[in-house]
Amino acid sequence: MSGRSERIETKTPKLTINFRRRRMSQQQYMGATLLLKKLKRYPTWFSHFDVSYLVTRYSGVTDFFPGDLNENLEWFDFRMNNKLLNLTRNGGAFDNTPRLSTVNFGNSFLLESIEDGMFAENHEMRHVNFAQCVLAAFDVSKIFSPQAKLEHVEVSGNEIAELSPNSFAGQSEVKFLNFANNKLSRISSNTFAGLSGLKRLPLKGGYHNER
Amino acid sequence: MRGERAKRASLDEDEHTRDESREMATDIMATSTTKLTHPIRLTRLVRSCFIKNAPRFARRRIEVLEENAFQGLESLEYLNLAGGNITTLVSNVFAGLESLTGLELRESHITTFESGCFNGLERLEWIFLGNLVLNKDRDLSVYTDEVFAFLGTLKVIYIDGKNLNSGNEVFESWKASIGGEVVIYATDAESARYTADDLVFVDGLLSIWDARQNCVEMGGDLVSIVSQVSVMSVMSVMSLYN
Repeated sequence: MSGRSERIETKTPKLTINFRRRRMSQQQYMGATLLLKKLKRYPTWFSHFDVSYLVTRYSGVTDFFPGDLNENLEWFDFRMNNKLLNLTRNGGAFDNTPRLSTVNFGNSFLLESIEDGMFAENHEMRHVNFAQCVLAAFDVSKIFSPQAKLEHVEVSGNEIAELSPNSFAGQSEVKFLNFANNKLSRISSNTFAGLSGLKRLPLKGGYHNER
Repeated sequence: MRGERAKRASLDEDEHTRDESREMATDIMATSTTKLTHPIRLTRLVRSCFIKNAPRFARRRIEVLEENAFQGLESLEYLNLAGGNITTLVSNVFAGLESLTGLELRESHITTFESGCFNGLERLEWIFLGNLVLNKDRDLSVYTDEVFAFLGTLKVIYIDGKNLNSGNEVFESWKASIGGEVVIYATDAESARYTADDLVFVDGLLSIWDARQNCVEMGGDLVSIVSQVSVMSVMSVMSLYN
């Protein structure tokens, strides 16, 4: 076993730093805030917390690598990231999180693309949120594992211009699929084939920045 | 004890959010090309001062719905195609939507209903048509007998109130052909400015739905007319008497 994983095991799992409980001066408070801000920029920091529910916003993380996230992670709320440009596999950044069922990268307004096979090993994936990013393409069959039974897919407010036929093949558990405010101009035959359990489908048009 | 803990947790969360927004503001300042050396109090915005860097927003709309576009969605209950630039509903476009109960076509520009365009919508209960579709001569030739027959089977038809003032006669004949419940949906402040004369034609109207509660400009006469309406949503009543 590597030294790093031993360190993870011995680390005390404590996520919340309660500033109020400890009486600290303004200087100490600012110091603690700055420390927290710096820590949030390093994804390796997240692996020190043996938690199933991880929420961090405005983190500034630009990339993920294998081992950045803890294997017990189920819920990953990473919205409002203002530095993330592309989600790349980097040798399987999310491969060691087999219990991951929810990912939220909503409002990451610079996020342009998701590499194929990004969540290919996350077979428990259920809820996915990439709303208000600038994704140009979103092919469920390429990004997610074919064994994953997605239920809630939110990709509204992106720049998706085309949906290829059968891109949702095998996703019969999806109940909510939001493609509103994208750049779709045509819905071809059999675009949504395979979504036999879908209940709600907003395809509302919207406004986009042309620059 | 638990309540106190929850309160404390929420305070912590507030503080955390404040820190985050402060961080964001710092980032924005750092990346800005203009260096701010002293605090500025913004007192006046000159017209077009942001034009150079202003985003150019363009509306993106679905323009074409092919035949069998929604094939395979047999459990779908709600479909929202609002804001689309769809001009033609081709035949069998909604085929396969066996469970659909609600369909939104608000803000659309449909001028042609092809024969069999509503095929497959066996359980549809309500439709939001948006503006009353009229052809260039402002008559109802757009609506074929087949479309009227289909609309007659629905429980509720929502219509945008925007153009009703200028086309009351047309609306009356349109409504007479439908025979079901028709709901006027006031989507903006303009359409909410009904006068007493405007609303005379809605004697048989069952309800007025005002989602944004914009009906505050209604006068006393109007309230007396509207109060004769047999069914009205609580929200509308509240907005009327505000």
